[in-house]
Parts: sequence; C-alpha cells; structure tokens
Amino acid sequence: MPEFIFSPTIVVIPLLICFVVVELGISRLLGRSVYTFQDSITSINIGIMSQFVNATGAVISAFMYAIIQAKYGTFTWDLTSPFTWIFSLLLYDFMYYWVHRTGHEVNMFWASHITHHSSEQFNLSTALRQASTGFYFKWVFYMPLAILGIPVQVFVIIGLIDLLYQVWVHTRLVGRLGWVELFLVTPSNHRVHHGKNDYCIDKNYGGVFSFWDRLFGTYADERADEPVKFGIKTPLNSWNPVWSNLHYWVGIFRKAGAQSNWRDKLMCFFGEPSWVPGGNPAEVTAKSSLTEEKMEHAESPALIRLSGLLMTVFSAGLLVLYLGSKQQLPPLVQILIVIFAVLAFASAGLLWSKASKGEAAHE
Amino acid sequence: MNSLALSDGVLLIAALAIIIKPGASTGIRLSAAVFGAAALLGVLRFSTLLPLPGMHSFFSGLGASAAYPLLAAAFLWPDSAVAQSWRFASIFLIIAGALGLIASALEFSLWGNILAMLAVIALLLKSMKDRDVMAVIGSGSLLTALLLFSSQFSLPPALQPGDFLHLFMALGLTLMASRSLRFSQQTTFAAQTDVNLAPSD
Repeated sequence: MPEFIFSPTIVVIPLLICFVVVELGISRLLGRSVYTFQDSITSINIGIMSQFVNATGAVISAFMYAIIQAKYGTFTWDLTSPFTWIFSLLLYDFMYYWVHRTGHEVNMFWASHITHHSSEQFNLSTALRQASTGFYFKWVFYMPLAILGIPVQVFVIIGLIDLLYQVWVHTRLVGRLGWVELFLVTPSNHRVHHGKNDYCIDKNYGGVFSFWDRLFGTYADERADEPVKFGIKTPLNSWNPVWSNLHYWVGIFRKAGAQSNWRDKLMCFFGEPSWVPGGNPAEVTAKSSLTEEKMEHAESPALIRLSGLLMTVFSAGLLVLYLGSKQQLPPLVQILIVIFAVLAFASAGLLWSKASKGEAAHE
Repeated sequence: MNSLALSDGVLLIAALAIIIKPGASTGIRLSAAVFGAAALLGVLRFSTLLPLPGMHSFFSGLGASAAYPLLAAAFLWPDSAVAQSWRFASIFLIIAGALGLIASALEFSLWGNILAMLAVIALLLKSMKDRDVMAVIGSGSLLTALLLFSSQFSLPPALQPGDFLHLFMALGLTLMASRSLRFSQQTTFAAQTDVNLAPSD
C-alpha cells in the first residue's frame, strides 16, 4: 500500500470547505440567503474534480517552469530577501492579470474559464468552482518569471498565496472597503467581475492587486443603484460538473463547424466570445440583452440532494488520499484514477440534472 | 566591443526602423520587436555592458520559433487578422512561443531552426511568385542568414557566424518591411473585427 505523503493541498481543501460552512453559518445568523444547496454542492464537486485533473496539470506547469528556469534563468535570487518575494508576487500577479484577461477575451480560453463563472450564486463555494481544463494554456504566461530566474519554489509558494488570497473575495457578506479598493482586489470589486450586468462585463481581472485594472482601463466599481446579477449570459442549466467544463467547448466546435471559411472557423476559437460571423452589431446587441435569463432548475428532491452531499464527502476524502499517495503511484494508475473520478462525477451529474429537470417539469 | 555586438547593433537599428515605420503592418512590427529585443540583448551581452546570456538565448529562440513564422504569415496573408491586429498577432506569438518552449523543454533543438527555415522559404516562394525583385532579395538575404549561420560560416578574425546572421537578417528585414508598404492601403481585417467590442458572455 502506498505511503501517505503530506502536501499543502491536503490541508487547504478541507480548510476551504470549512470556510464555506462558516460563511453559510454567518449568513444564516445575519438572515441573509447567499447559498443554494445544489449550486454550492455543484461548485464544490467541480472544485474537487478540478483538483483530481489539475494535480497532473500543475505538475506539468511546474515541470515546464523548472526546465525553462534552469535553461534560461538570468538572475540569481536571494530567498531570504523580502525583495525577492515582493517582486515575485507583483510580477506573478501582473502575469495573472493577463492570464485572467486572456481567459475572458479569447474564446477558446474562455471555454475553460467559463466554468468558474457559471454559478448564479456568489459565495465562498464559487471560489472552489475551478475549471479542469485551464492548465493547458496558463503556464506559458508565467514564463517571464522563469526567464528572470525566479526559483521554482518561490513561483509555487507565490502562486499558492495568490490563489488563496482570491478565495475570500468571493463573498457577498463584506461590503465596500474604502481606500483598500484602490489597490487590492476586494469582495466588492470582485463581485463586479462575476456580474453579467453590462457594466460588469470584462472588468476587474486582478488577482491580488486591483491597480493593474486601473492601469489598463478594465476597472469598474460596484454600483449601488444596479445590484450585480451573477452568472453567465447563457445559463449553464446543469448541475453536472463534467458538462460545466465541456459545454462551451462543444458550442465552439459546433459554431466552427457551421462556418464556411477558415477565417471564421479560426475566429470561433481565437476571437472574442461575443464574436459573431460577419460581425453583425445588431446580433451582438441582442446577445448583451440576455442578462435577465436565469437557470431553469428548481431545487432537487431530498434524496438527490443527499446523494450530492455524499458524493462531495466521499470524493473529497478520495481526493485527499489520492493527493497523499499520488507520487508513489505509477502514471498509468494516476491516469486511471483521474478518469474514474471524472466518470463518477459525469454519471452523478447526469442523475442530478435529470432529477432537477424532472422536478422542474413536474412543477 | 566585439563584432557580434556591432552586428547586433545593426540588426537592432533595422528592427527599430521597422517598428516606427509608418505603414508597416502590425504582424511585421511585432516580429521586428522580438528580433529587436534579441538584438538589444545581444548588444548588451557581447559588448559586456550587461551580459544576460539566458535572456538573449530565450529571445533568439523566440525569434526563430515565433517571430519568423509571424513575419511569414504577415507577408503571405497581408489582410489577415494576424497581419493587421495586435490582438491576433500577439495570440499567434504566444502560441508559437509556447510550442517553442515545449520543444525546448523536450530538447528538440531543431524546432526553431526548422520553423525559421520554412518561414523564410515560404517568403521567398511568395516573392518569386509575385515577381517582386526587392522581396526576392530580402527573403534571399534572410535565407542566406540562416544558411550561413547553420553552417557556422566565418571570416576570421573579422566576422563570426553570428555576424553573418545579424547583418543578412538586418538587410532582409529592411527590404521585406519596405515591401509591406504595398499592403498598407488594403482593407484591414482589424477594422472589420474591432466593431465587435460588445460584451462577452
């Protein structure tokens, strides 16, 4: 039996789930409804599935980073110097801004990132709703750090700090934070980022610092007169974690298949998500007016909700075991475990979606 | 100050001239910017003012695996999005650069050489097809630069293999960029696509 090896992710996952429970408790105490059961369970399940997949993806990213750093790394950095860490954080966050912006403004990258935005709720569980398909392009944006020679351990730790910082900003329980809004990403300005109101679209891409947005003209403040509506303009309409990762890809390939020339086919992948063949502005305007469209689902029956919860508990446990023993498992076994996890989520997701739709139809 | 620093300086001036040249397409400017960055790092390295060999070899590799193909794409399809728009030229550069990095990580060192050679041959064939003498000389210079550098041709003690690469590249890029003026009056693809600034999903 493989020996269990401790890794930071193993602590982080249960900790994040605990944060979700705490926020749920506080929101109940305050009498505010910021959670819906099925949405939150789906977010957590999507997050767990992404960890199964990205455990391999992250290794590839770190592997590429280490090779490029060893090959081209220009400067030597003192790990004990605060300058190394502050500079690395600033540069990492700057590159994160561009990764994130690309994830929103280039259709084939949006196809991955859309998963994170597919919830119509905004709470700490939304932070866990991460894509399983994003790792294939993100690594390249961080290569400037490698070329500057920033050590791989600094890159990994700074990346973790940047990621963990972004968890707490996914909440509706914290209002505007005054002067802090000027330079840090906060719950208020991140709510704008998750909004589908016209003024929220393609705004506030920063990870830790919001001044990148101010610098590049993508900053928007939350408006008191227009509450943010969360989610995407064409609702996902599914609780299936696998479909949430794939639905936009399917749409892109269908759209590309329907185009008659190569330019338009390529534009389906590399154009903006709002691109339409021929660039008909009337069609674009019609699309931007879909902000009132909501997900069709009613709440699911109690048994289905229980199965969702059990799936979350068991899969989180399996994930911790997998991450703890992964390094000792042969690559083939690792791949088989990931495939098994994805298939398990796909089949459970089908069950939940069917049950929800059946319930909605019944009503 | 050695010959490599001087010849890299010549390449840097050529690249800057292309970047600021009115009428040069975006794709050509961006590829010139990559070559210019490599040349600047070369000047700093070989003049020993600020030697950053890792960064210099990175930008040289990026030039071979991404900037040459971008240059070729911008010439072969002058009205394409890649030739005319910063957005698509940057996406092209990032994806080609990523493939170059993967090849580099896999120790497939010929990747950049092959891509650069294919790009220059495509430029030469297009120039010949168009019966454009200046472009034929320009793309011929680029091909000569690559061939001489690959064969490590030198004229000691005056000129090293890298000098031929830099000088023929400078000549070739300048001539090719001057031909791009022909296309500056054409309808830009960017003008068609930039209408779509409506919100994304």
